[in-house]
Amino acid sequence: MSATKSTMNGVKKRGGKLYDIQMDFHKNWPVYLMFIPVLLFYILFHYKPMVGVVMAFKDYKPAFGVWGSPWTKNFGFKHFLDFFSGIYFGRVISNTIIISVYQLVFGFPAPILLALMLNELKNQRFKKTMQTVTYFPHFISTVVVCGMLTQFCLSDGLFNWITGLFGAEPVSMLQQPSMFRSIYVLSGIWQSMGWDSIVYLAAIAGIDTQLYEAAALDGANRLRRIWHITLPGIKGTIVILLIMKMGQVMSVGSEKILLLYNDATYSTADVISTYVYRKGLIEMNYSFSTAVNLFNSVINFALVCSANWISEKLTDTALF
Amino acid sequence: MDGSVTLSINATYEGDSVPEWVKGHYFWDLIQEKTGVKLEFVGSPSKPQETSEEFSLLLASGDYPDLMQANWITFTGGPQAALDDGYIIALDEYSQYFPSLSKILAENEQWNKDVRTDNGQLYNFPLLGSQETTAGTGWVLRQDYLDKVGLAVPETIDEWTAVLTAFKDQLNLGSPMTFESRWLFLEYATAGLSSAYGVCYPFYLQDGKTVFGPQQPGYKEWVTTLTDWYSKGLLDKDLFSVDKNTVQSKFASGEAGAALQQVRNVQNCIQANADNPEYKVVAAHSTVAQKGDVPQMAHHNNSYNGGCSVSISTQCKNIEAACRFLDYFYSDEGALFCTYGEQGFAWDYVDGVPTFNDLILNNPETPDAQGARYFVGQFQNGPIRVIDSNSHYMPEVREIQAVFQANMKDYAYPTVTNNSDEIDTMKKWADIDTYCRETITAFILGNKPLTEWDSFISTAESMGINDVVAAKEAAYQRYLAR
Repeated sequence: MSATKSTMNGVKKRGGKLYDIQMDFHKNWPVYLMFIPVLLFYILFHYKPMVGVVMAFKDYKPAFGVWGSPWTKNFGFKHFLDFFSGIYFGRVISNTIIISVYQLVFGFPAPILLALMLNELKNQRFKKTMQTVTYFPHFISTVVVCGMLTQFCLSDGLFNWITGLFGAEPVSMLQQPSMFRSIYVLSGIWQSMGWDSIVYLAAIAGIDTQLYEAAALDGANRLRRIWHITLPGIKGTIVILLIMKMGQVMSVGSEKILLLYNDATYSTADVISTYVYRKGLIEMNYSFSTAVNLFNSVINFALVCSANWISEKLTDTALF
Repeated sequence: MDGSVTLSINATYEGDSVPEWVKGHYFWDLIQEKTGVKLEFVGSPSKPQETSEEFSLLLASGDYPDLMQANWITFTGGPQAALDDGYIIALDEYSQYFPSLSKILAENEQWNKDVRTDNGQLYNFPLLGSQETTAGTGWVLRQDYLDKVGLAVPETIDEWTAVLTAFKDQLNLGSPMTFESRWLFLEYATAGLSSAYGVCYPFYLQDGKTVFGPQQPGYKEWVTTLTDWYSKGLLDKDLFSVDKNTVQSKFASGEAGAALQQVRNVQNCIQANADNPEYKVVAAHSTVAQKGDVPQMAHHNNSYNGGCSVSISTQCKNIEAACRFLDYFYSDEGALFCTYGEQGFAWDYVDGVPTFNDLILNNPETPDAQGARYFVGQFQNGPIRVIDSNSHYMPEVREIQAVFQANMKDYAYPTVTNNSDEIDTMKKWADIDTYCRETITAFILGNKPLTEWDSFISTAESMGINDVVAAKEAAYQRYLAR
């Protein structure tokens, strides 16, 4: 690598940037060849559709196409202004943020804790079994999970039977606006905790075992070893994953909410993505929902950048 | 036609997965043989293409089939926008290619008015439903439960309260009454019960003028009753999280004594209890304010509502063939085939009346008789004039359906078309609808006190409900002027 770099520097003095690339291509053409499919993939499926955001500033009608549809009023910002002044603006934004914060606070540490605990298991067979058991929910389709949740939450369902053992009155849980977020976040943890712990387990496996031995000799107990060796060892992984999670704060997925919410729980369950789904696909206001999603993406982008900047200042770990 | 014509259509083709007994007699296979037109099915086989989500994706794709199953009435801007924006073509100039439909429309003034735009253009091959039997959903009770508690079929709200209370107290039913909560807000679905208050959701005609249900004084009383029932445990505790199947299974198992049911599901409940001699279902007439009054409101499907109809898209190359193919559905031969399936296979004449055989009526390999009919025909879900939608029901179920009917044609808002000036106003309705649904739900569950009713209505007004009603009224006036 360093050798290549120095040659490149040498070349740079003789020719322009284009010449650089030509030389490099001459040398490494198989690598470029392998890169072409990836490049095409990104152009076709990630960059070309981006042109479609123009829809957010137009009154899109499929028959006229994206370019043929007329621009909206207010210099193209009509849909944005409609969204900001609509009565559901405050609600969908705050619901989205609250659910995301719950997911960050309770959902993010869960797989880390699970990974730490699995790592402490000494019986390999038991450890493997536990891992498999905790991955399993990840493979159940969301539709099935929601069907099960709906049944369990009925007033004569499993959850009410359990709370009934402690003397609680049965309630129809999915009809309680106050319980929706807890049901959503807790079931989300149940679904993804095991799967998400894999990456942490892999990071833990990379820690030098000599460190543990040395610490044990110095008389550090288990908790001390976790605190001073394991956690610092996987700090980088945790920070990177946290930054990536920050980029999703404004985008709580719609599938599970669509399957679980009802008229009674709209007030706490309606989030940006479900609102966009209803507006865009059910009511066919394609442009309006594009505008909402564009607004959403801009905020997400800003969040990732600031999380990245903060992390760079505090821990020297950054995504980009 | 000679078989060289191919037309594409966004219909559901299940010919590869139908039960063994249907093989060779599947409707979409036979219709191709009979008309000599080869059909190419586009779209996902698992979903009805007319659901707004699927249809909205089809429109956005920009690639339209020759024959488009669509409900343009619910489309933003209505059928006029569909014609003007260039999705579909106006059919009037091709009328020589569809003589059967032309004849039907010429003979029936009402239909001829309903199926056209305000400008008088014909834009699809319509599903023309019955003009008499317009209610397909109604309130049913267990007759044997009524006998046990010694009460008659309720006619007024007070009698309903008495019956449900008796069901709860004397029979210990977990959910004396159950229904799908979304039906509270589905057009006219629960009207049979709210009839006593002279209201229903959402828009209907009162003294020839368009009104919005919740703005009427009676609507608050109706919600008050539901709130009262819910708090006393007379309604299903899980009212807002149960789905259609749960409602049906609760009524079939006897966990619920009263339910709102579609005719098809009434038959299913009765058949599920074939070996239970006690199980007996009775229908309740729409409620009245004073005993002895004539029931007024009920569930109602407009004879033509835009659904299940087929238009010809602007991308269709062979308009003549498309017209002739679709006209077959309305011809005497085609109507008989679509309604009953193939003669000799699924039915035959008995005393001059087409009568189904056991392949349809008692077939253990299909979910129910209606499901069996959907394999062999398109009797109420395609571009045809419905001539028989209920002969596959048992006689007692047909009697129940007759009880569901009331005087709703005086109140039902007809199938109108909105014009493009009204698009922005009508877009407000979706948000207002959401707001009304969740607020009324909160009232019923007791999460919001009924003292806040007036502020609920004034919020709906500040959101523009009066503009929506005005737009609806204007569209209605244009309809009358057609």
